[in-house]
Amino acid sequence: MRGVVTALGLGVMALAVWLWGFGGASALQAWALDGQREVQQAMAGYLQKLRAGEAGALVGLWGICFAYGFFHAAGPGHGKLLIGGYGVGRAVPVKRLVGLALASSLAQAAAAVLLVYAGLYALGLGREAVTGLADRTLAAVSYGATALVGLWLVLRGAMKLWRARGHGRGHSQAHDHTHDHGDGVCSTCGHRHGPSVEEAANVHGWREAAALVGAVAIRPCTGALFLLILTWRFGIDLAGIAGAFIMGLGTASVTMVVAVAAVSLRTGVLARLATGGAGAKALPVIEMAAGALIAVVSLQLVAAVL
Amino acid sequence: MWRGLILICCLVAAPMARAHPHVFVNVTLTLETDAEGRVDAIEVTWVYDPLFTMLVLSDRGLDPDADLVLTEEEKALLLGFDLEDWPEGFDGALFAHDAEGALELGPAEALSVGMRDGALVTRHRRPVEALELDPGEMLRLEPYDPYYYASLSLVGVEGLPEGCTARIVPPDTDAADARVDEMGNSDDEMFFEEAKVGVHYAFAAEVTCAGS
Repeated sequence: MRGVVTALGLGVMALAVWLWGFGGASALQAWALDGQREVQQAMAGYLQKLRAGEAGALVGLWGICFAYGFFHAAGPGHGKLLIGGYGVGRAVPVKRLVGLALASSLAQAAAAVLLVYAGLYALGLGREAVTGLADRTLAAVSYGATALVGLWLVLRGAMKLWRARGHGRGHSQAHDHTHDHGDGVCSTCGHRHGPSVEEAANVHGWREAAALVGAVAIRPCTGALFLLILTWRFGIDLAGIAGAFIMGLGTASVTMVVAVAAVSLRTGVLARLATGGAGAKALPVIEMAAGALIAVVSLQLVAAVL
Repeated sequence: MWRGLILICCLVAAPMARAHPHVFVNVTLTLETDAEGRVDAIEVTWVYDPLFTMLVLSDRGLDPDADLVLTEEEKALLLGFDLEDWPEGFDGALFAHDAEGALELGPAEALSVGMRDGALVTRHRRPVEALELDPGEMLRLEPYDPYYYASLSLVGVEGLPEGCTARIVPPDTDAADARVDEMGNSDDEMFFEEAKVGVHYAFAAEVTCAGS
């Protein structure tokens, strides 16, 4: 089992080397950009057909929505940063992180529907006001929230490091007893704070899950807004609303892969460290590094949109 | 291990520094020359992608019959719609340089609006101070949106004075990505200023003349 996980982790690393060492990222970026351009053109074509009353165009539109979400997510995005960073930084069961990736994409679609219908229908705003709100204000709020999640990881990592060094015993916390780690990762290091069931359980807190989903969802995808605005104006509302959620599924198809990759990388690295006995010390450091990365990139994004 | 960590950090972070465009525009530039063969204006044709075209038309309640044909009244209503309220630094998404530096482009004058294959096509003119293209000198024209909200592709350069040729240089995305990554990874204050990434993904036209 551990061999498989390590192999997966190494596979992701190889991908990372290819992406960044050999210009793969540009190829990916160019491919995503071309894809988005073509998909955007096709979407217009299907909308035009629907407008002309061709009911059969609906399936085509929805298929294109999925593709749009996919290409959109293959490009840059704060969802991948957060889900990926979180999966590397924290012990989170892979199924749970995959579920969170899916939930955040669908919540993002819901946010787009809410924004368009509240903005256009209820408040009577124009298209530019609505997309401007998403591109600037909501983008800044979303990146800010993402940065906070990053800082939270840094704080947690720092506290663990502090405790692992023998501080904080006076608090007589529940952590202050020796666990019998069944996962074998920490059985050789003699440390109390290994990657444990207890640590994994921490993430079950719904607050952290809500923060993760919320931070991603606050900033709706501009493409979904375009679609919803047009379908509302053309009187084919349901086609657009369903399309926005299908777009979310397309986005999720990428972020879910990122979630699996992040968790396998973490597990693979930890499994290899276990033999060296450095695992327990590395854990909080990995968490802090992942958190710091999320925070720094998000804060740059906040500054860029303000 | 640290190398692995750094790699995964890059994997997640590097694409973050990039924006992605939501509007796609094909650009044709046409040089206008005066009686003495000097360039005195640049005519810009923007062909919008069909989805953005639909948004622009539906914003104004135009083309209600959905035949993607505009009446003369509708064309008159739209004329100049994309020349208003340019955000600071957008500058008409056209930048020109010659050997002496940046050329000042005059205010945009709307020429026409129309539809072609479901795409909105607009033309406008940017006057420049009469410019003689000396042999060996290069005029560099770069159409791009600094904010990269729109991705502009230069598809043609027309109206070249006699003896002149234009070479269209597509963006070097590898180099551009490397530059954007550097910005993202440095703690340079300039990152925030340089966050307008569009220039790194710009097409360029290099106009050179053989002389008479």
